[in-house]
Amino acid sequence: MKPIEQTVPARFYRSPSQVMRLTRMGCSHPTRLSFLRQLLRRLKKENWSFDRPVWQINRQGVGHAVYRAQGPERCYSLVAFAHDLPEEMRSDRVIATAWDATFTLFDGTPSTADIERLERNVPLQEAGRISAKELSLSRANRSVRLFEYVVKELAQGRQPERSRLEQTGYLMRTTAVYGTGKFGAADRSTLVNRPEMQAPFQAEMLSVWLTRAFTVDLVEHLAAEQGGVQAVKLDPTLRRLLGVGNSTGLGMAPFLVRHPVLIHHWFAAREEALARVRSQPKLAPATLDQFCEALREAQENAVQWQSEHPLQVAKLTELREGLRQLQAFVHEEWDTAQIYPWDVLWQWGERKLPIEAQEALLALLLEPHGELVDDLGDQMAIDEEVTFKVDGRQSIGELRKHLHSHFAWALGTDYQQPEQCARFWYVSEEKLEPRLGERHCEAGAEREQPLDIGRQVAELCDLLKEWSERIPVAHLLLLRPEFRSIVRRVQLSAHYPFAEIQDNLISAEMLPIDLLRSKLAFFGATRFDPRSDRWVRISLFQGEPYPDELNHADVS
Amino acid sequence: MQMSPENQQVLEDCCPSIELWFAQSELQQLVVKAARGAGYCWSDAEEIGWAAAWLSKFGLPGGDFMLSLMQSNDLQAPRPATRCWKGNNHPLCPLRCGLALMDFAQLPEGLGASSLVIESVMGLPCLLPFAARTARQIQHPLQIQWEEQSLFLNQDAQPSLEINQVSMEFGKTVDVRITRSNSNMVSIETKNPQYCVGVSKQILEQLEAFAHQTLVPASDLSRLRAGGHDDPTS
Repeated sequence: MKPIEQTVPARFYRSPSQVMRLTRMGCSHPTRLSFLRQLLRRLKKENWSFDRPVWQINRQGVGHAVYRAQGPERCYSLVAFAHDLPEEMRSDRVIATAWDATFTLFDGTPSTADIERLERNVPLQEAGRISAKELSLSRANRSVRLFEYVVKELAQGRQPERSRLEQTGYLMRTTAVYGTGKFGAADRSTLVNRPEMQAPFQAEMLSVWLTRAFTVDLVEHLAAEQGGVQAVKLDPTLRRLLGVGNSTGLGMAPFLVRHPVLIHHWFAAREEALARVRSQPKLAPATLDQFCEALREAQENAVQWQSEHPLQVAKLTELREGLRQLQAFVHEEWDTAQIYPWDVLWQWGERKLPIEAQEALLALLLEPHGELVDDLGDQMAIDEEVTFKVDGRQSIGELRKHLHSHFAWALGTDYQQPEQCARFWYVSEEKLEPRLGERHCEAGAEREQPLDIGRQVAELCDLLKEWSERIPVAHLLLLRPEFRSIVRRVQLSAHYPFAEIQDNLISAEMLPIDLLRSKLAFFGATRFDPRSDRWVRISLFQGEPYPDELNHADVS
Repeated sequence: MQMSPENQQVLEDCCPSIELWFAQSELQQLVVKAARGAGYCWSDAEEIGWAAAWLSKFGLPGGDFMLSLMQSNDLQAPRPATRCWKGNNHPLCPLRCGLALMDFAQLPEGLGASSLVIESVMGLPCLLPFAARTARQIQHPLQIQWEEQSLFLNQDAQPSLEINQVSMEFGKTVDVRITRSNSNMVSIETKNPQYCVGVSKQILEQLEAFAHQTLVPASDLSRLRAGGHDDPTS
């Protein structure tokens, strides 16, 4: 696949050096190109149907259920197992060994034998083994306070308080969602010809969306068991307030570094969308109305968005204040009759708003422009195999030119300074959890993962000083094969300018949650709530329709 | 490796024989870690993992062959020269030859207009994936010949059906001729890829033992710094 082509004048684009910095990536907001939004649009457009053919859950809430999504050509089934988890075993950490519920997304409709096989394996998660018939493996824990409260209220015939639902935002939070190619699950290559699986992480998003339906069914089931005839179901309006929580740590950070070409496509698609909107010469009144409605919703969301972590508290303050300024400008100063009115608004935002609010503005600008930008969702996936290559003919001089053109951000740093190489990424023996160590006071740096891209580039730059301009790269790699990976990245940078995070990922100052937020925003996550600088809770599908509502809902 | 009763049950569920089934990408990731654990640099480990996946995709025991590579000593890099690559009285390393084949493919020391002979290569199967990628890179089918055997690789990096019949041993040293093929690959049937691959328990244990060398032992400090201060009761 060719890199995404820029279709509008260059002045409407942001540069990779502006976009790919951690401080900005750590302010990312979900957009209409986010993967869960793409999923819902497709399911609605293609008129998918949903049912729950199996519900074998007992009075204690233990058992299994199957949720089926039937599309035009294929169906997928979430097989959910509900467990009786002792309080002392409940942990969101990857090193946990038991959970309130475990799940797999089955390719088709599972037979009784399939369910029996899955029942022996899925509850074990990483210690079990699934098969090529499955597309994901995940688990979730209850939000204990909210889950029990909602069951109790419904059992007594009352609806839960809206404010308590808003405060937590979910009944269960997933603590890991493994996708294709993990623990025996189907290889991603087997899905490439399925249109519904073209966009990134669609199997995982479908799994989480059906999990959300399961969490509500489970509280209603337990309420009915406890309250008998007086029990009521959750009001659909209140139900919408609930998403699926997700608690995640460093595990998802390395992905952004290990898939440079894929990441380029995510960011390039989003930036292309922004440029298309900015380059619109005129503004239609209906589009303006939709923008104002999206801004109002964003302000409401910013008020409901709670966090106690100091980093996020500061960002939320900036977001709320920035959105207030934006609203004032839109209603009082913005001349919508000017040529390129959206660009005028964007440029005002870049001058006046903090980064947190600038990135929110980006999401808001895309919101009323579905017809203009939604096709870019198709360009957010890539067959990485074809880019796994090195051009051995390229001269050292040419390589050096690319290195200085695209990696200037990496070359001004002295990686010998303790603070510039303070951290090292590694994989722990404990359930293969990715972790971040302190190089100067912690053991294990000799087993470092190669995520130190900036430092590798600087080492390559030093090496190239010893080589003559005209020699082909093939000769360099014959003698110094350890530089192959970084040479490939430098060569790729010429075609994929958004492939690299332009910051030192082993610096003492680096905040891993910036990486997490960026990736989670592409998923479509909201309510980003850090619990530390490397651990975060978010919500998925909050405010979106449930399967039984999809056909009548607005999922633009 | 001692298997728990639970995992034994899992093994029986998924694998009627002694094989455990992997997604191609899962095997690739395991072999990358194993190669790194065996002492290869990360760049080589990535390539070894990719090559294991390619072999497995086309029905050959990629994990087994790459494990043999990891366990081999004294294999040398080639000295690329026009038409013929030689070593220095030691067998040539298939990884080094394969990577150099790709890198030099469009240089005078590489395939040139006709053919190239690489002498005394150990572990021919480990060379094939890189030859396939070379065919894709130069967008021209290649014929690979050794002893009395041959197969074709097309410009989509797919092997011809002969890959089912040829005899390949890792431990044998052979001279390999690589030729720009005149055959029309459209008329040559290629092997269909498979994305679910079997790995024997014995090979898996050895790969995992190497892969384990990339892991850092857990400690209270590392647990703390993993960021896990989350309150599970909330």
